[in-house]
Amino acid sequence: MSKSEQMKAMKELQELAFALQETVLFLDSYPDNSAAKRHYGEVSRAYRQAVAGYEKQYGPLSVMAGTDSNTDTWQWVKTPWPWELGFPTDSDVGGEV
Amino acid sequence: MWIYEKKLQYPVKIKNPNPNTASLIVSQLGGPDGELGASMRYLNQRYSMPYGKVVGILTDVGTEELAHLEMISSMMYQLTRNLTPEQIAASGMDKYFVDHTTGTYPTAASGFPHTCATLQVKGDPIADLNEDLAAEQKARVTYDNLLRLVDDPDVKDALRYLRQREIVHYQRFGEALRNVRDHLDSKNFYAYNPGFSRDLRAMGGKKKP
Repeated sequence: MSKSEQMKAMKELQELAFALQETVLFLDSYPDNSAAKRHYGEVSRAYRQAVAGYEKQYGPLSVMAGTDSNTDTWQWVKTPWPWELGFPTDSDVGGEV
Repeated sequence: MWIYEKKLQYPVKIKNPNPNTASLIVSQLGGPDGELGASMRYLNQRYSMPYGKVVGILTDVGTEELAHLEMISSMMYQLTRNLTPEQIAASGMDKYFVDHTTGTYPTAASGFPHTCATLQVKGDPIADLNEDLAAEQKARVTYDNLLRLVDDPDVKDALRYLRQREIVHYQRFGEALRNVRDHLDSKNFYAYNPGFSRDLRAMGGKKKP
């Protein structure tokens, strides 16, 4: 669970999310393209799995999904914010590399 | 409504602070062709679009622009860490620093605060989509200009990603405009505003009594 492993896991998440975003934008203009719709199903499934895996190790990525697995504390405010991840920062949650 | 995901759309990791670079890239946060303006333009235009596909693309691109402004702000944050007053005084960032310290404030590189006066929501699908095509090109040019002025490879990497997204958005808006044109009546190309004139069309073009 080192910072560099976290950065690597985050990068994989970002790549899947990007593939998802591109598919979404295509489907907005071509909603009846069944191949694209199938592709959307595959990518969104892979993305959701990657999110679940990431959150289990590194804390919640959003607040509404109820995926903060720590039962005692609110991890949302204790894990690095996106501009702090892998970056030495002044705040009390940022992570040194 | 909007859900926030605690991640950047594309990684930003800048090893070397540089306040001058921050004072330039701020234009893509709050400048005339920046990401904040783009998101406000698209997210507001979507209400007067009469076709689901066009509302969809404006919603999803508008949301993506919010992710982009977060990247610019993150770059500014990382570029302005651990600066001495001497470094700030010597950079182009001293005037910005007076009013905002190293906070992220939406302004143009010129210092002109962000305004919606540089964007329009005309309430007409053809006018609005043409505006959006121009907006994406203007943003692309701004990134071209920043890439000419910035040397740091970490910064350039993120700027190149954001520039490429503008080009993709341009393609998508072109498709949306074609979709709108496909719906139009060949006799009444500009007089008929599909977002507004539905009743007039149904009545054969006559005004309501």
